[in-house]
Amino acid sequence: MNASIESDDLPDLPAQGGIATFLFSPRRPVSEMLVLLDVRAPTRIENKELLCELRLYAADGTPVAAHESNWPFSSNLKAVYQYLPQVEGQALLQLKTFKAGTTFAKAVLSIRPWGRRVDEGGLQVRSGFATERCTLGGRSYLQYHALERLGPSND
Amino acid sequence: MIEVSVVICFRDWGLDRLALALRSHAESTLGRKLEVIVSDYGSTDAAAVRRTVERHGAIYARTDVDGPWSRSRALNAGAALARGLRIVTTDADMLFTPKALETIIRCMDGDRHSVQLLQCRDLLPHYSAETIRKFAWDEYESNSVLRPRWGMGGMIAFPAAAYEGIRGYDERMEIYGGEDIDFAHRLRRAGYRLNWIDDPDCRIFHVWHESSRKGADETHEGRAAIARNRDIVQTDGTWVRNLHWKHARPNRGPLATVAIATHNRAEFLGQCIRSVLFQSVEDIELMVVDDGSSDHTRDVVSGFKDSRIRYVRQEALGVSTARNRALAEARAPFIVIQDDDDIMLPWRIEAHFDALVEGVHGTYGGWVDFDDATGKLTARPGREFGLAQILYSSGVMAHGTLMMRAELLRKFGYNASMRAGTDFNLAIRMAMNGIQLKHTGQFHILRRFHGGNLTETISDHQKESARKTTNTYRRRFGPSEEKVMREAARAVPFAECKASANLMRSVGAYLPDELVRRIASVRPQDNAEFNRLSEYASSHQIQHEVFRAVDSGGNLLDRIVHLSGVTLEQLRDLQAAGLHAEVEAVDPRDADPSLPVDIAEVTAHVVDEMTSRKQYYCVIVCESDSPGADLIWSQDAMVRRLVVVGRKQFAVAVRAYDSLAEAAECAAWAADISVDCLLLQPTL
Repeated sequence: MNASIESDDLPDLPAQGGIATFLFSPRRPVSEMLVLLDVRAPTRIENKELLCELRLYAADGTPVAAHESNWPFSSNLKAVYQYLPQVEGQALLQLKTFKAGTTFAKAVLSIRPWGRRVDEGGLQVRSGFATERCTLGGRSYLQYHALERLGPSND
Repeated sequence: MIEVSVVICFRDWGLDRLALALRSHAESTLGRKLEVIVSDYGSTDAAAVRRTVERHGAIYARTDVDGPWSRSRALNAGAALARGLRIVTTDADMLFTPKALETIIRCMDGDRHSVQLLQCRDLLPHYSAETIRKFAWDEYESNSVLRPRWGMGGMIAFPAAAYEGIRGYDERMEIYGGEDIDFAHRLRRAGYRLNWIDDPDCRIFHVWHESSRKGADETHEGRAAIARNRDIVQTDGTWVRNLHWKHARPNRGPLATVAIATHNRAEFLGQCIRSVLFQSVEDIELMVVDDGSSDHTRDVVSGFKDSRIRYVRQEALGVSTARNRALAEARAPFIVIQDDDDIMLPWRIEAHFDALVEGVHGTYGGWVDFDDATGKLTARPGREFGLAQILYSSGVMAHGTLMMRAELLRKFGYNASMRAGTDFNLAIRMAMNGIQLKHTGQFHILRRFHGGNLTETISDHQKESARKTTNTYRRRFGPSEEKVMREAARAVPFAECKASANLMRSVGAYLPDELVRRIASVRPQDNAEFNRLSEYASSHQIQHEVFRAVDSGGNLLDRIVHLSGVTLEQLRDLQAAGLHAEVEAVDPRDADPSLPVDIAEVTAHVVDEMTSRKQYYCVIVCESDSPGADLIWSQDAMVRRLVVVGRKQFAVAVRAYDSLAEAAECAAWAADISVDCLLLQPTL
């Protein structure tokens, strides 16, 4: 498990407005998820110019601390995050599988620019998926949930 | 006596080519010791093929087929008639030199546990069926190219017993490609050595012709079949296949012997035997050794009119001797251990063979304890088999869940000087000797607790036996080794058994009749089957209910019949009549249809049919009386089914996709029409 990263480790820029925000509600609380984002970037966006921040919630809506996870924690954002890789044109981005030390019932994901100005026209997040493992009829599957779009931003 | 049976598979490949191959066999030095069988798997002009075959003194075997060519099935259909002690499988475009088969026999006799392979030589294009008149073997030698060893050459020779032991070529394989490699690998896994013959007297030449592989590659079905074959070769590590063998050899021996040693357990033995006869794999024998019972054990056994049952009685000599007797009497290459008071779950023997891969001597599984008075179930999944676990941990393996190679089990045998704990003693000896047993990931039995269990009635004695056995073997290790082994044993987790989340749902239906009420769900294939089922239900006073899906014109789309309160005996009747039933313990939702049903539970009913090679599946589900149902029935889908859970009916469609984006579009469409959709990707 990666050690938490403090804000000093992040680029020295303030957080900008979000590009898209999604909600993931698994069928039952989970501690692990794989996030995929169907994106379109008319011009190339470099690695680490975007990040996906993640906030976790229990079934009753109370925040769940995500410090003990394999995604780095930013005390500036007060959330765990993952940089997005370089993207140009249409792509299905798969982020590093998120593993938390505890279970969560809901997760809010926000896609934000970092380090340069990327607005909604610069990157379109067409849809997002999160997966959970499930067993059906004795066989194992990854179930993909279409993420519910909460808006272009949760700011 | 027939020394060798040569089996050639054929379908419309050109009669002149076939005639040429048959001529080469007619010139074999083996003469009458050889029989040649041509398996005609669906040629258009059967009469013409028969004439050609019989004109050359060969045996003609015809299989009428509507479906695609399958080299595997064609070879099996031919081998089913083979009378020789050895079988050679080859193609209709292979020419054998006169001494080839004689040489092959010599090689096989030199090593009885061997499989012989021979690399063919590809004749140059001007040597075709149209141009060859008289065989000129010396000329062919210098006008042919030795084929590189990327396949199995063009011929495989093997003992008929080996062929039966692995249940022939894999009948899932269609078109061709990979079946010889797969077959040879399976023979190797079964313990046969593969030998490439290198002898100038033994040559086979491939007659030139246009590649038919190219033809197969040009169709979607052909490409899919070839890819599926490749998948089987690369991913299926088992060696026994065709558990429901279509082109079986008629007088083959059983695949597995279920060995039961019994003493005064007539009360439970009937249910035990019934559960064995209800196995999905029917190719078994059941060996019952009666260790001097004084009750009506013999009558219980003879009450079953099934030729697969064998019964021997001996004076009461104890469980070890009775078990050793069962091992000695067993005729199959594998022995399945079954205790006389336990119930075998119907998928058990299939699970054993599905997990039997290279390097494994036997397979075992989890078990579920049940209280004979209340039916209460307790899961015992077991742990990975190993010496550390056996010596320093518990709950590793129940002996009555084991299947093992017969010859190995006989070598170990049960310690006849022991009255109890013989199975534990055997497990330790096997672990000490490096025997590899693999967990199947499934529950195998319902273990009955009835107050008269051997483990309870002589528990002190058994505990003492176990202690003695354990100490005897533990003394072989020093303190540091013991410490390491204790830690290793502690680190071994319990196995994960399929469907352990809801035991009553998954295994409860197989409890004795008096402990459970069950529903059998049958999907009749046609009206005739539906009528047979209805008649059976009526004549046996079984409450039955028909669920139907019809289109707007009233045409039947799908139909399921629920039989409520069926007994295990009745389930066996249905099985014997070829009616496939899915069985479940009665669901509380049957009484209260307002209880919710999870879409995942509905989906579980169709996962067995999600067999596409594509990566993503969309399972679209809605209640069958809702508006979305018509859309589900009218859309293209790989599966469309009526599914009944509790008393609710659902229309279910399954679509398969290569990309997540396409699957996501389908999911979005489902959301637009307000029906549920599960987007799934199978994982290992």
